Amino acid sequence: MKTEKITVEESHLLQAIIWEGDLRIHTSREYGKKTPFKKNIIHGDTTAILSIQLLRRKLKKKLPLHEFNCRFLAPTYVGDQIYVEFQQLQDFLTFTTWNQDGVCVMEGEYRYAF
Amino acid sequence: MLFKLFEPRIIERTIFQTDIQYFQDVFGMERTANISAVPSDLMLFVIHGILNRSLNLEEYLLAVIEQKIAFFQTVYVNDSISVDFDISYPKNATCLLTFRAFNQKNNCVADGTWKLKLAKIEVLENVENGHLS
Repeated sequence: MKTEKITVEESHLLQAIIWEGDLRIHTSREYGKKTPFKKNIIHGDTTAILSIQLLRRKLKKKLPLHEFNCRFLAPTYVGDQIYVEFQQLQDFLTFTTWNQDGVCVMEGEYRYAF
Repeated sequence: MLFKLFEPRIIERTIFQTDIQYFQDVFGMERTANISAVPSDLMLFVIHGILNRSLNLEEYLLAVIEQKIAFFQTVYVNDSISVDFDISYPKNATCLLTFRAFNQKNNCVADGTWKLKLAKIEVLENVENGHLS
């Protein structure tokens, strides 16, 4: 199954700093150019939480987060459009998150019940 | 020791009602008035934020490449969270943190691992037996 898409906004990047703190890999354009990514990247947790939200909207359930495992495979940037493909099993989901270029940026498992 | 700046559980973060409101707003969730239980998704941010500030990641972080987290207890507004962690280096230029998060009553609310890709590898030269002491 597949979710709708969401566009990653600057607000997603900046609001995460309240909790994650500020690192120039996320917020300095000059430093971002010098990294292998060539520009600022979104916090991994932001991509994770956007993916979780897309899953909840698709399934129309709250799906409390009890366990969450993920691997970050490619960076996400402001302006990217991401969506999630997933398989729902008994008490957990396996998922992959994709960007507009067909690149898988994250894969993981999400347990929503004990 | 180049990489670790603070001892575990030095940094503590209280969860405010406004944290939840900001979180719900930015991620397009329905705003819930006076919610007392903190969403576990928000705790992802809080716990990793404490880890971020426990290490001098500004100089060393290239990217987070993998994370695992399990939640054991509900965290409530006004709880204060601290994080215990251990660092190991399973492979060159990667760093694995094993962590446990606690509330102010010393109850473990979550645990997990966080694998980082480091931009600098000379830190490894200062590590004996794969672990910082």
